This record gives sequence, structure tokens and C-alpha cells, in this order.
Amino acid sequence: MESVTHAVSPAMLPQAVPVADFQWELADTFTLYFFTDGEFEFEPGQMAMIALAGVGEVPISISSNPDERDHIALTIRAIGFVTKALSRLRPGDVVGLRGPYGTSWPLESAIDRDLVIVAGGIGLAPLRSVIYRALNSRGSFGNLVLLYGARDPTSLLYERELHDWRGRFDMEVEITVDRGGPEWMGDVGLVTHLVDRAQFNAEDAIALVCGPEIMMHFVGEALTRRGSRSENVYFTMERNMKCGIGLCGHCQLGPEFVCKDGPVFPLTRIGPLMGVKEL
Amino acid sequence: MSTPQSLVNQLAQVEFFAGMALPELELLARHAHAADHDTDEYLLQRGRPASGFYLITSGRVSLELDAPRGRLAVQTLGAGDVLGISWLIPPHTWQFSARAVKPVSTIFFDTAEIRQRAERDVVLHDDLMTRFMQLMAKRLHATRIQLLDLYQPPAYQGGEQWSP
Amino acid sequence: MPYIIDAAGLADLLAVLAENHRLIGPRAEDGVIRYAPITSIEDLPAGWTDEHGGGHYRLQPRSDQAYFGYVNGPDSAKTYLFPARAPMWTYTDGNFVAAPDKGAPTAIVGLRACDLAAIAIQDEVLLNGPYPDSHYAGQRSEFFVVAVNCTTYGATCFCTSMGTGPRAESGFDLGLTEVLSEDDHFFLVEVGTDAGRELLAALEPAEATSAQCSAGDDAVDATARGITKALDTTDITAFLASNLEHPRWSDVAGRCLACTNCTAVCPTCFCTTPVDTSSFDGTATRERIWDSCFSLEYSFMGGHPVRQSGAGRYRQWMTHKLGTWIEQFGTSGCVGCGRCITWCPVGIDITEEMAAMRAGAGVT
Repeated sequence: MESVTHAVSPAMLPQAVPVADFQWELADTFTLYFFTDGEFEFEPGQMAMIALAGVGEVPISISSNPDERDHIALTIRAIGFVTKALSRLRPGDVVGLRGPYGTSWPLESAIDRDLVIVAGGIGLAPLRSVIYRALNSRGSFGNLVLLYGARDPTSLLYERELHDWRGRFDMEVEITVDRGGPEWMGDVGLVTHLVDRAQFNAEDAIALVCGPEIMMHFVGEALTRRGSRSENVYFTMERNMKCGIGLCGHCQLGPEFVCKDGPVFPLTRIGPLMGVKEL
Repeated sequence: MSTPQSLVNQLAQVEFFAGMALPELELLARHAHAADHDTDEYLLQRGRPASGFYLITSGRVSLELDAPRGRLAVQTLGAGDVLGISWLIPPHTWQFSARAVKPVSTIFFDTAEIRQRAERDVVLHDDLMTRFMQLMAKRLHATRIQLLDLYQPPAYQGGEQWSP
Repeated sequence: MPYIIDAAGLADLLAVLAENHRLIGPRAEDGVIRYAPITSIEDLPAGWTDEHGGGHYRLQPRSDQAYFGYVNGPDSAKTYLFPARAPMWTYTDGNFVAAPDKGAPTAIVGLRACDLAAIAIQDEVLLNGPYPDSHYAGQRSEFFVVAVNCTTYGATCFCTSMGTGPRAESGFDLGLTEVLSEDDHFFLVEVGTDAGRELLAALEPAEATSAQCSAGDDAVDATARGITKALDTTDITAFLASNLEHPRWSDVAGRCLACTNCTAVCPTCFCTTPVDTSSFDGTATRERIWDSCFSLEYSFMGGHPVRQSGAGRYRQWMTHKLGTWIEQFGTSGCVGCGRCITWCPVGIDITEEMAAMRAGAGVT
């Protein structure tokens, strides 16, 4: 079975890998699966660069279980030229993969503390890998809380996993949508409201946040209001990325290269940078 | 139902009443009583007179409007949330309905006398207005963010070849 | 310690280099001094100098026949080490194949201290990160440098402020100082590397006298004293970081055309973007081309550019070049070569913008 091998120098050269499986998750969001035979080990929060020869290349956070080393999964939203082309791939089609790149979620710093995961929209994708990792060693952490906000019930990503996680006794899962519709029996409202109410020790907890930048900003405020310290709150940032390896310059946010100094940053570092218009 | 003094102590612990002077807490406690609601019971209904406000102590309440196509929820409230602002604002009728999504325990504050007292007592008036203004601001702020539809990618206008 | 050669010796030096290298040197063409392939000393711009100013460049004849009596043109080592277009890979039959990285052995004559400082800066950015740029590494190996110490300066030069010149201290295989007087015309030659020593040995040059050395030093010192343009680099990273909302950004944006000339001629700018092409036979290629933070597409994300305004883009360039570069790479990104000032169509001067901000000035 063809699979990924380690990217060889030069660092911009992709490895040709066939798509193993393709699944639609939502109307505009899909997941590609690749067999990797243990040759593409990654830490939760890291990303891969996926290339369609002649079309383009995009960075995508890896959202599969990092401890299932035989495969990786990339959940992608089809909204632009390259991602729409990727959405037309089917098993057997060949793409180029490079990676993993970037910093990862600091799970070790959450040992013996409460772990709060706050996701907005497709932001659940970069967090799914760290949820898997945390559940794999559940005993290492205190309370495990997932707070997830989406646009509406049809936009809830990974519904099957959400149901599984809600069914666990050792994990608190709260879901809210911006607009519910007549069929929706769950919460309606902003995800920050879930932060206000969730059960965790704010002074001590580690919070991992992913979603639109404005949403992350307000979640950070809500956490701070509850007593969280900025050094314990982590965001994953996004900027225009072309190379993913700190050479092309595009992804700079102030002095930080999002691709190599990030994409995961503590709020202490990223908060002041996020506050500057057009930085 | 807890004794008035223990209710005062309980209220003093609630974030919404943080920093409230003792006489005011006692006034509120005198006009408060426990109100529990089963699933699908209405705590308040749109158009009815707004006679007070609720402090939700457990459960879930859906703030919603009834439309021909069904119930349209605008926000879900839970433990620690205050429900009911219209008692302060003319014409003092509920603008939305509030329905228990699952069994709900609340403390209901009957505001008829409290309103009269506030018209004479500037300090009480200021304190209540400030608290409810802050609550309204927080709700308005959240609603505006919801309206921004942040999770939805923007519609492109011909820039497709640039974007991944 | 330095040696001495005359014009004939220089001609021999170029000839020896040309035997085993693609020889690049200054030549006057199209109204500018380019760094272009040369074959002999005859191609050098003897008797020419260049007049620089904000948005101003003219070749002017000299009253003497100095070979290196010019300052700089739009080229730098970047033209060859980090060219505007470079192939990255091709895709055929389901395989990605890397393009060859190794360049032809190249010798370049005429680079200045500021250019050498720029090479060192690009080495740090492109070779010392977690993922080295293999194309740059390929061009960088077998790159023989004959540097020239400046005995003339341009009105836009400010290497003295940046600590990068006019004397070249390192980064060259051989370093020349041209000394030209009424009765004498010679070149002091310093050896920078073993490769330089070996090459020079073939010419069997004499050692320079102390008088000759002094003449060379005096010429370079006079150049340093002549440069008046200055950039105050005191606490510059912190200063720029705390002035991101300074009104001067909007002011300069009112003049800046976002034409990207400055980033094209800057010898340290390294931003690139990949270009993917495909053909009907199913093959595809990717090449890397220069990009600029001044373009709207540069920061395009999620539907629109993060840096939409000219002020935001000018601020990005200047705060990166002078400020955040130091946090990222340990040195300034600016070598004071003045090219961005010379080649700006509207003559924006990065040193003036900096001075205006420090003075608290908002609008012109």
C-alpha cells in the first residue's frame, strides 16, 4: 500500500500520496484520509501542507488521532480555488504532502490540571487531535471540558464523535449554536456563554482555543473574567501561508512566523499582536 | 424555602448581586420566592405584564419567540443567569417568552414594590439600573457577535484565484 | 599584509576567474550599472559613476578612469543567489521531482561591504532556520566573491549607521581597494579565504607598502566621513513596536504607490510565492518567484487581505526590515545600501521616515 515517507530535503518537495478515503462532513467541509505507515508522526496542533500539482498548496491542521500512527486525516473546508479542487478528489487520486509543521498544543502543561477546550465552527478540526490524545491518557488530567459553538445545527462538525464524547462520564461537553431553528433542542447563544458556566478551576486550568479570531478574542476575555491566566490560555492562529517552513515570509504576525513560531501561541504572546489592526 | 437571612446570604454569593449593599439585598430577599418549573413550562410569555425577574439556579431556559414555523430560540440561559429585563422598561411587558428546556429551579423576584421604592430611593435606583444595564450590554454584545456570523466564510467576489 | 596589483593584474585576475567560473561583474548598460556576466576587464564601467537621490539615479562620466568608481545599481548578490524565479519541482507520472539546486560555479566582482552584509543576512534567514532553502544553498556554494571597498559614496548611502560599511571586514574571498591618483592607479588586495589566497597566488603579486596601504585606508575613511545620511537605530525594535499606530504611517501611505520597487532592489528581502502551472499531458511544475509585502495578495486570507491599507503595508515593510527582523534573526534587516531610496519613484526615504517618527512628527 502506497504511503507517506519522510519528506526529504529539499524541504519544499512534497511526497506523492494517494487519497485513502474521502468523506463529506458538512455541506462544504470534507475529510481526506491518508495511510502513512507510521512515517508521518505528528503532535496535536501541527499541520500538513497538501498540494495538488498544478493547482496549488494549502496548510491544513491534522485532525486525526496522533496515536493511531497508520494514518492521518485532514478536514478541509471548500471555500477557495485550491480547496474546492481538493473537494473533487476521490480515493486513489494522488496529492503531495509535506509536514508536520508548526508548534503543537501544550498538553503536558495540563497534567494534573483541568483541561478546557473551546472550539468555534471548523475550529474543532485542529482540536480533535488533542482531544483524542487527552482521552488516551485521561487519568493525567483533572476535569476535561469541551465547549463547542457552531453557526447552526447543520454546521456541527464531527457529530458522531460529539455524541460519543457526550456519553462519557469523564468529559463535560457543552454545545451551542448561534441560531437553532425549530428542531434544535440544545443551547442557543455565543460560545462565550458556555465559558461563563462550565465547571472548571479557572485559576489553574489550561485552555486550548480554536476558531475565528474574533471568537477566540472574546473567549479569551471570558476566560480571563473567570480568573484564567493568559499564560495558560492557548490560541491557534492563521495567516496566509505559502511555504509552511518559515522561508516565504507571508505568515508573519509581528515578529512571529505563524508557521514555525506557531500556529499555537499562548495568549500572553499573541494577545497584544491580535489587538493591532492590520498587523 | 430557605429562611430570609439565609436567602440574603445566598444572594450575596451570586455574581449578579456582587457588591450590593445589605439593605438592598434584604429588600430583594423580602420579595423573593423559589419557583421551580418542569420541562416545557413557561417562566414568562411574550406580551404578558413583566412583574419581576428570575435568577436561575439550575436547569436550562430557552429565550424564544413563537413563529408559525416553530419556536425560534435566541439564547439559552442556565445556572447563574438572570432572566427578565422588561420589568424595568416601559411598557413593562415581556418581549420574549422563556421556556424550561429541562427542569429548572429559580428564585423569582416580584418587583412591584421594588420599583416603587426605587422611584423614591436614588441609591437603590442607580444600583439596579447599573446592574441591569450591564446585563443588557452583555446580552447585546453577544447578540451582535452572533449576528456577525463569524463561523461562515465570507462570500468571495471574484478573488478566487488568490485564495487557497 | 595586503598585496598590490595594477590594472593588468586585475585583468589577469578576471581572466583566471573566468576559466572556471561564470564571471559576474559591473557593467554599464541600459543607463544603470548592472551586475551581469562579463568576460574581461574591458567590460567594467571604467570612468563611470552613479548619481543617487530620492527617486533619482543617473550614470555620470567621471573625470578619471576608475573601474569601481560607482556605488550600486538595482542588482545585488540577490540577483544571483536568490533570483527572481527559481524552479522548485516538477510532477510527472505520480511523482514529485525536485529541480536541481546547484548553480554553476560563479565568481562575482565588485560587491560592496553593504552587499556582503546582505549576503550574511540572507544566509541567516535562508540557511539557519529549521528548514534551509535548498535552492539558495545550491547557489551559495561555489560563489567566489571579489569585494571592493568603497572609495565613493552615494547620496542615499547610510551603511555607516547600520555598521555595515564602507569597509568590508569579512565575507569575501578577495577584497580590493582601488587607489587612483594623478600618477598612480593600483589595487590593494586583501585575502579573505584560502580559496582567495590560492587564486591570488597565481598572479604572484607584490606586497603593498605601508604608504600604499595608507592611501587605500585614507580613501575608504574619507568615504565613511562623507556619508551624512543617518538612521538612528537606538532601541529601534521597541520604538517601532510601540508606535504601530503612529500617524506617520498614514502620511507615508499617502505618498507610497505600493509599486514594490523597494522590495525588488533590497538585497535582503526574501519573500517569495510559489507559482503552479500544469499542462494537458498531466505534468505540472512549481516555481518560486519574488513576492512583496506591499502587494494586496500578500496577506490575503479568508476572503480579503489582512493588510488592506497602504499604511498597514508600508508599516509591515519598515517595522519588519528595521525592527522585528532583529527579534527574528539577530541583526537588522537593513544594510544601509540606499537602494530603496534611490529606486522609489516618489523618493520615500526610510531614514527620513524614521527620523520623523522619532521627532514625533505626524504629517509633512
